[in-house]
Amino acid sequence: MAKVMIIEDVEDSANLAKKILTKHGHEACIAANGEEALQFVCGEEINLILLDLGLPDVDGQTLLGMLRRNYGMDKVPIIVCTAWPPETAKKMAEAYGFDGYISKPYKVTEFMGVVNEFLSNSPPQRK
Amino acid sequence: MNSSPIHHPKENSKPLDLNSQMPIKLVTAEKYTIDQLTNAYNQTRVDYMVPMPMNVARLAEYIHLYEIDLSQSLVALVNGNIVGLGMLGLREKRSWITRLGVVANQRAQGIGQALMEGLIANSDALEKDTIMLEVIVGNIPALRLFDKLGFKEHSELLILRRAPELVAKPTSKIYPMDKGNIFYCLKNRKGFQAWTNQVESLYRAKGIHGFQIYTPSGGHGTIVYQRTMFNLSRIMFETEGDDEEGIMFELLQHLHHQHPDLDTYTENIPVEDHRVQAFYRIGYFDVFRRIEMHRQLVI
Repeated sequence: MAKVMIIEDVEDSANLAKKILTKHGHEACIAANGEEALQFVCGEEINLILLDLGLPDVDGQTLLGMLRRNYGMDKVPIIVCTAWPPETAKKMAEAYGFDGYISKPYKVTEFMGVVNEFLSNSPPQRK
Repeated sequence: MNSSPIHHPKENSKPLDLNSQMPIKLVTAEKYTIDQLTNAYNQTRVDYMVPMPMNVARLAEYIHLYEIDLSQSLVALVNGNIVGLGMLGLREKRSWITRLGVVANQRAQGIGQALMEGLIANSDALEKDTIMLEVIVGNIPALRLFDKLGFKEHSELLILRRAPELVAKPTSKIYPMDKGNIFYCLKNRKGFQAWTNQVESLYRAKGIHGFQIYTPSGGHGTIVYQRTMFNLSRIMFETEGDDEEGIMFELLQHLHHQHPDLDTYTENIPVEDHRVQAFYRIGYFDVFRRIEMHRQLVI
């Protein structure tokens, strides 16, 4: 079982991701904005972060940098979850150094395919 | 006067459609707190490709920066519930419709049109010559609505982004600009400026910086930008000389050499601006595009 943090402000979308992860035997927690996410990661063991780009307080690209540089999440895979067209999502993921991307709306098989790819070799990391 | 249907600017009821008995009520946005407006705005955007959610602080800043007049902005209600909103910015003889949205399960029932007609009526009542708005490329229902209401395409605008990355130190010398110089340059820019890039928006923004360069071949370039703790944004520029794209590249090289750790996004650069190639060369990429539309007051 892995622990996944979902950083997502849209409740339905966050709950769906949590439901899929829980159904597949993982523990999932939700942060609704950047501030909550930064509070949460302190002292927590996390195996994977799913990050929405459009957050109400800070954008996902900026939050990625903060998590990596200032919150010790440099070895935790961070996946961007976005409704951008795949070409833009791919460009964004590559330019900013996200480990991968998942397109919205979520499709369970695709969602779990990406998640599993990163959970198989990710030791939990604690700040 | 404008020949479009006029709705009372402050409060109005309009049938939803032929099959519905529920009236849409439009009320002025000043009746609501920023907290309520933020929540309503976010509800209208949850399924957008570019959701751009906001918290209370961000919306309050937006209202301040872009001179949104809440007494002229509108909230749409059905059975007492907020189902949509649209905001109106006011500057001299111009107005700007922004943050327009309808909650997903209430769309295609005339709410967006009712909001638009209310906002147009408010603008016309204030005798604004031009109403401006932007719509994301690909948002066909919105484009159709704006076209129907008399808006004409004015230009296509780029929204660009660049991840932090080191760049080589340029050879030219930079000359920092003080606030007086910065705003003098901004006021005297040539050509069209989107609402968000107009000098009034920059006056109200914090952390505005700028510098100039002179090239050996007699060229000159000016760049003005906003710097916050994590980002560079609002990049405005002027170039003169034989190689304007080259001057632009050098301006950007200086900017990113000075701030290698900062993420950058810049909005509303006209797609036909040839200097945009300099942005691509230094690592910017297209995020999305908007269409700027204008509607002139009909007397």
